[in-house]
Amino acid sequence: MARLPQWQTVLKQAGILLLASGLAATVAAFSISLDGPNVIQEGEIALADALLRQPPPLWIDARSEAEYRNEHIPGALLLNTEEWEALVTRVLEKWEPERTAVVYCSAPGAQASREVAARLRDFRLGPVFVLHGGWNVWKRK
Amino acid sequence: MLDKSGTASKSGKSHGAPACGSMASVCKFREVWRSFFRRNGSPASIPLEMNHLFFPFLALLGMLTCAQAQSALRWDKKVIELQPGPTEKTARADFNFTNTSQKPVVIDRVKPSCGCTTAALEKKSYQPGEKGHITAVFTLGSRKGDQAKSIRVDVRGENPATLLTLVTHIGEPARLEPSLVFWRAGEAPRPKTISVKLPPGVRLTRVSSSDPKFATTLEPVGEQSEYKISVTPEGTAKKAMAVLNIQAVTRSNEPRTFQAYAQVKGP
Repeated sequence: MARLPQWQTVLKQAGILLLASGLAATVAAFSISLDGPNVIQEGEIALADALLRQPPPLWIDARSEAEYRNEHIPGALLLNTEEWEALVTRVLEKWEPERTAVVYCSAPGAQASREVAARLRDFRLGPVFVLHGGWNVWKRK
Repeated sequence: MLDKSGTASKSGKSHGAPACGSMASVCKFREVWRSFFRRNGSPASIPLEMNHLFFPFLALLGMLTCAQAQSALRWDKKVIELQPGPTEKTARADFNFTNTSQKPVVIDRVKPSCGCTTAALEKKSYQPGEKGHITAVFTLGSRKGDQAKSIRVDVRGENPATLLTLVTHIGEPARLEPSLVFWRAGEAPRPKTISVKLPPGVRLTRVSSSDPKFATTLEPVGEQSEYKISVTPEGTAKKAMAVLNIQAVTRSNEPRTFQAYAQVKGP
């Protein structure tokens, strides 16, 4: 087989490297989105599953008050760790025993939702989940 | 990867020596590369002639290392860890930096990852050699455990942005199990119990109910820092809710207050 000139070989190898890195980046982009890993973690619920729950879940918005006032899931109650004491009594008034609560926020790692969900579980009123993908998933619905 | 020492630009330079060094060192590096693949298989025996990958590899390495080395600001620390005292309501940290470049640097934006954190910058423009700092204040609220809050710093003409992290270790204030006692409508109004486990050296002094329809009693259990709170509703015919304020003092006599809740649920 005829050997290519050295500069063509270099270009060919550079092309292979670029293709390989592009492939790796594509795989990474599909497995890790901006909303966090695509795999549902322990304590999370997919939006489709949450919407099928009967009775419908109690939606808890763990974002800031400004974000909540701008837009939120219909019927959702605001509850964040900044103003926990002021907000939690309203949640307790609306949360009937055994009813599922689903917490969402807009942070990529759902950190705010996880903190709020952990504290809600301490009440032992009913199952508490974090919405997988958070607010962005609801917006894309 | 976050750099705990805050010396990203220095480490970038040391790794970048083959790419940014003299021509002689580049040739020497190429010889090492070639001899490695000669030892591990001749060009004829492998489909990709690995010795020809040297220049693309060098270009990639150069791009990566030079991108790191370009940052004009040198940070004393990019990660700061704090452990606030039991009575503190905020955690505050100063992220110090120096403009190590030869040109003025403009910081376009500092953006905390959470509404619970503020980040303040004295001014936007810094001359060569000038020092500055970003003050981050994290409001603890009712958070518990380890908290990591990040601040994104956008420097004009630099990409990617710098990420600063404030890690706050908040001690577990009290363990309440459960933090809510409730009765369904019509249920017998028997007492229900909340177990309280406090950190060592913290002593529970008083429990008060925001609604007199719920009576409370406090009783120490075994060890010094464990207690039992018994809650009894007056009746369960009507909806009712009370906040139980649990007051404690630390070893150094600092007051602490925790909340639990009691509720009669509606029909």
